[in-house]
Amino acid sequence: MEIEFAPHVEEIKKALDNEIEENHIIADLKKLLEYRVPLSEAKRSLIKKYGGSEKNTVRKLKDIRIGEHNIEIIGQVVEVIKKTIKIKNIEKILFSGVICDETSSRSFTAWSDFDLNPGDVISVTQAYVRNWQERPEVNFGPRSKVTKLTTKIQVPEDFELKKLAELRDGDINVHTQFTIINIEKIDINSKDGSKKILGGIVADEDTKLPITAWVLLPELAAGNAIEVKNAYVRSFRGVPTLNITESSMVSKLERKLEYSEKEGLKIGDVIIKDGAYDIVVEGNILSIRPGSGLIARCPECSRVVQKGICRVHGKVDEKNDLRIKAIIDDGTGALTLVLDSRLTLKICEITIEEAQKITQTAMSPKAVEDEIKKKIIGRRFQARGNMSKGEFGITFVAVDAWEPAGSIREQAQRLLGRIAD
Amino acid sequence: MEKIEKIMDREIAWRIFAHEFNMSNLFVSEGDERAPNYIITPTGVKCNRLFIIGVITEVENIGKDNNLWRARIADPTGVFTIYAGQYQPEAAIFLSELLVPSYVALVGKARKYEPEDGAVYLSVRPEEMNISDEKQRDRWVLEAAERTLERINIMEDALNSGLSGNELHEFLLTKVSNTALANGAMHAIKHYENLEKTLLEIKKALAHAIETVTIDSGIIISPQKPEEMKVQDQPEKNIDEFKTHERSFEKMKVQANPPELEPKEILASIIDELDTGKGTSFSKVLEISQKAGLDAKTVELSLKELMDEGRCYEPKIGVLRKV
Repeated sequence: MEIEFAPHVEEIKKALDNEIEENHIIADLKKLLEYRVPLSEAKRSLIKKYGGSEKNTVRKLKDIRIGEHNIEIIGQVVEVIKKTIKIKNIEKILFSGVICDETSSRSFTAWSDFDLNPGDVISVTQAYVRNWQERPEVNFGPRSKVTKLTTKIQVPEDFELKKLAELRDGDINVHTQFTIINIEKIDINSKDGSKKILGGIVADEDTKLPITAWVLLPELAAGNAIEVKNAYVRSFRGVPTLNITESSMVSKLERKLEYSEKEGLKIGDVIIKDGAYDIVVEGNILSIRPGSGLIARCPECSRVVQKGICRVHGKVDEKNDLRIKAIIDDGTGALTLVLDSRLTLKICEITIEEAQKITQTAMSPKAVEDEIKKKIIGRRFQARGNMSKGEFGITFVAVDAWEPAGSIREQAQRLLGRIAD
Repeated sequence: MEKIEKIMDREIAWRIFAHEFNMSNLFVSEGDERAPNYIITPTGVKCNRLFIIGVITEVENIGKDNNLWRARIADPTGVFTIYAGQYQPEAAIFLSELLVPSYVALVGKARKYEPEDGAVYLSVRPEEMNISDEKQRDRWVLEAAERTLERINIMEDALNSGLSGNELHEFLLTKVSNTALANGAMHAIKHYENLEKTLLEIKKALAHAIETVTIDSGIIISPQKPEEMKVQDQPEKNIDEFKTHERSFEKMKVQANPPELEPKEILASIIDELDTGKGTSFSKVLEISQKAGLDAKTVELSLKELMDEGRCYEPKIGVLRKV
């Protein structure tokens, strides 16, 4: 019996750094097995009991997956922000930022102060990966050990010039070119108090992208054409954002890159991207999703509230709002189109006041939804906005929406020409 | 990321003309009973959901307890059959209040009905229905035409590549970003015989569809070419008369190739002959048709065409009646 145990006992001993006597381990293991606990669970349970930890797995940032525990990573801190959050009314300070290795960059959250500074190369053990806005985020918890290293992260010298359309969340060492459309200073809370950064919109010939610059460079001014090396990409609110840091190389270009909007984008091609900024899609409204019509919001945080109770602020004096969440589909793909009260008025000609009246007359909150269905199901629309992916699927938040105006005849002639070819 | 994959899996609402939809006869189901069923069309659509804007030409209550509605929605190439039952109450109510003709938009699921005699009927079960208008319909026609044309081009490339199996699949994936379409194209190429010819036929139908929307609005769309043809080859009393007809066609030299009598016309005349007022059985029709040189598959397809054109119907399973 004990011979059969031997390899497992050895394994447990090793995991506990040989600090626990073999007899104890054997006795405990036997007991657990008598309870018919599976061997793997018994081992796990014992290691935990004696304060050991399961094996650390070394991971590259590119390979981390949501839900992983006990991973070890080595990387360079790119940026850190100090945050104060409230958990059950107790204030807690945490640090969040971006860490990169030679494979990728990822956001991280450190739940205690490990004295992290931009540029530090660190080794972290017992880290875990959580889902943050549908992307893996590295977390340094109470059991994590952070060691500062003197080595450098060897970033591959891959300076291939990329178009903005090719940039993906997690890309590091990005080399790209663009024209700055607008840019402004923004105040943020960094580790050492308030700090100014730059935020704006840039574009190349066919793609617009938000940009964040962690350094105030004079070259970064509206109208300038810029070449940047060693920048990185991180998704912000579901849209890939280009980040420029102290280690990025920024230079002004002579030639301008003129942006011209892509027409006739197919939804099928849009939804395979991580996110998209300021694009136009066209399709038919095929379904109105729950949560459309008259809704109530918390006056403080704008969260949707049910029966006047906000998830965060408790009982509140709710504010009425009107919105539409609709499936728009062009035969190549589908996404959820979100229209606010202004666009609901434009498309459906219903105001919040009218919606309230409809609800009261029909004595049913579904009445507005039904009215919206009647007005737009099956109809064709174009919408301008941003596409992002999150836990509610692929969402397109519109800043404008309208019925297509193009000539049907011209389109027909063009198609007939294509058939003849 | 798994979650996102799932949401991306919302079935696309395909744009397919009735002509192509109704000629489809390949069905696949993946996994267990609850897995979605798909209809594979000749252009490689793996269709579960579709979106149609067309004209309602008939609404009929066919259920015992007023709970099953059948409707016909026409596009420029053919007719979709719609069934709405007790589990589609909104669509049933919508249909019951509808005026014929009127423009409607429909999102629905493709369904097949296979009575025992081996025939297959395709229909659409509505998810959403709404009133539409001429302009929306015209835009739908153009979109359906564009999407169909894209698919035909991919299929033609695939057929011309001479590849098969995994190599063909790889080739298709370089052509389309949509894996469902690559998958459907594989099925279609394997299943449909004379696919080149069929694709050409579909292309013709969609060219015709596009032409209909270029006609001045306000004028009711004039009888189209297929209609004119129909007037000329009205089913006659017997097949011999048809042969004379055929000869006269030859003399007229309407086409370069000697025109063949369409199987459906032969079938129409057979049904006409057999149906003395109370209908005739499908098996009898099949027997005579086979003697007349039509194979079972052709009979099945032609019968469907005749039904789509409203020239015959099936009052009971296995019984056919002329109109």
